[in-house]
Amino acid sequence: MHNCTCNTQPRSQAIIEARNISKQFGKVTPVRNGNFQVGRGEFVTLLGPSGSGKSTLLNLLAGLERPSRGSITLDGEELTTMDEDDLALLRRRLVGFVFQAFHLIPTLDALENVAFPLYPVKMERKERKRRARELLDRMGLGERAGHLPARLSGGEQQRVAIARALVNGPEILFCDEPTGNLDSTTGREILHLLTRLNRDQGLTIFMVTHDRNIAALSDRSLHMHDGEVNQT
Amino acid sequence: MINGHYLRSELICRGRRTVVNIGLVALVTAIFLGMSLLAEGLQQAFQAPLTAIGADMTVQMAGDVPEQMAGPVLPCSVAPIAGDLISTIADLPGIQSVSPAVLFWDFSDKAFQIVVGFRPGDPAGPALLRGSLLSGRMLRSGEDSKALAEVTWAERAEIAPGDRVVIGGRPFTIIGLVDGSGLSGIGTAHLYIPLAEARELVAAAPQVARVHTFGPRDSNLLFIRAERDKTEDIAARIRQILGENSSVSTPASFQELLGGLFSLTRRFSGMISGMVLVLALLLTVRNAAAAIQQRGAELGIMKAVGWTGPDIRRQLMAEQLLQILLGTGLGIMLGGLAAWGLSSVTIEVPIPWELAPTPHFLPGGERQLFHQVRMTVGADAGVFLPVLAIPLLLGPAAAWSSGRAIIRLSTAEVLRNA
Repeated sequence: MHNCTCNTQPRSQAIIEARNISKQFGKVTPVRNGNFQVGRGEFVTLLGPSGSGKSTLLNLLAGLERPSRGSITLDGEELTTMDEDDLALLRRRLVGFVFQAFHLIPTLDALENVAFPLYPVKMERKERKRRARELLDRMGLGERAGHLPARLSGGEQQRVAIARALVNGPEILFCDEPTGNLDSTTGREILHLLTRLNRDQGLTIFMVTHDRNIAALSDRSLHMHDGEVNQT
Repeated sequence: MINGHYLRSELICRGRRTVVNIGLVALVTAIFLGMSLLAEGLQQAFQAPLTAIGADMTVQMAGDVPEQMAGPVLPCSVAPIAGDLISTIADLPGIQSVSPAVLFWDFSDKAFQIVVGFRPGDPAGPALLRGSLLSGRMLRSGEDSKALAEVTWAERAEIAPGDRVVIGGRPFTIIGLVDGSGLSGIGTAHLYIPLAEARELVAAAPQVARVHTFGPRDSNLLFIRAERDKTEDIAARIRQILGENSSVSTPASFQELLGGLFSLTRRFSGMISGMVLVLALLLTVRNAAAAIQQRGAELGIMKAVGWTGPDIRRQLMAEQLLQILLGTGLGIMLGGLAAWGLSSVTIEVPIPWELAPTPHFLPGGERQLFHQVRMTVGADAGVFLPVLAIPLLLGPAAAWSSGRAIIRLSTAEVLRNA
């Protein structure tokens, strides 16, 4: 294991680039001097034990949290100089999220949950529904479109969440332990779905996990330990 | 852009919260409106005895008791008011008109009569009897020796138009019958005669001359029309002019007689409405902030999937505003129900003894007079317009509170803890 400073091996041109990023919360520094790149279309996993700073790093890369030091670029755009609203617009255009806890809107049915990121976008309601419906069909959930999240299984909820992450046509998918709340069979299905998206559509995936088996499916793994990012 | 589907889903699926929010605003609106309507209704009720005689205040003076009840005498509550003083009062700013009258009791061997002298063309006082004429005709200005009779008294005395009556030893012809019951008991009489003749009779009456000096321009009862918002100030000025024996009746006089609860309700309705509004304001701010705290993860998702701050604020504001507007609408309906309920309430406004024309020593004279008033709760703009202050105040308060709560929200933090 070695410190990963500009010695990552992106498969192609970098779409995510972190330079000397650190994050400090009081006396705690969950991320320190992170230097790495993720190439366009690459599937990278971030491994590490609980509390090692994986989720904090993912939040930094997605612009949900600001680094205390260093710079981050997504598709060539510097995040640290953007205000909150510009960051939101960048995420809308470039990024999709898949969370361990699914984080669906409980009051909206599956179809509307998928369309949710498009709500603030000026778009015909019909078009928004068409896109959401198409994605739900691709996820094999066309029949469940009218169900509220509470009436869907964990696997179905995660597939709705993946459809939601894709509805904006993002280039990067940030996944935070996407199989953590699923049984092994369903987890495998979800992983299969994600790898297919990476392979068939060239979607860049940056996935936080603590499961080495999942890491084995990725192009490359980064490892976090005590806030430091290393490449295995 | 505000998403209507999301808005509807939130309000319906989180029904309990929605009902509480709408109910709170409705309650505040209903209390606010109910208090305003009640205050307005009471104000009109207190005004009613005076409104019935077309006046905003009445003025009279307390004086000595007649030595003997013979011929025309002045009751002790209506001593003469000098003509000069009446002119001074008429010149006070805010006074629109002064209608003088002379009220006296006429004792003869056979009967007792309450007589009032008035000017038929005056805007207030017994001149309003022109609307209560049952038969015959009304007195005309400049007429002599003509009188109107109160119908109940006339029936008892078996008097009809064309008959002659004697007042203070002078004959008068009855030219019409009037129903004085609508005059709230103030300045009502058995017989109504021209003011000039009443003055002459009183000035010439020996029992009046024993205790008073009554000049040709004097009167003992004034019906005054004045600017309503200045009534109490004008009353104070008149008391200064006439001295401590004066008695000026305004709506406040009736309010004081009605006492306790009514008086408090009217006086403090504004304060109670204000307090309710402040309470609603605080609860709205608290509810808006609490709703955002409860939906922390959802707002975190909104930010994560690309909703900007203004996008989120617009959506939440629309939710809050819709609830406030629905609540205000419901509150207005409840207020309307309250108005309907109030309109069936009848208040008995007591008439001060000094305004009652019947001598206390006669049968029924000691009885407290009341003027029955049906509460009128007008749905006019003056009452309903302040209700618009509720959404105008609560809306921005909710927006401010939501805005602050959103700014404080750390997306990464709420997603981590969700």
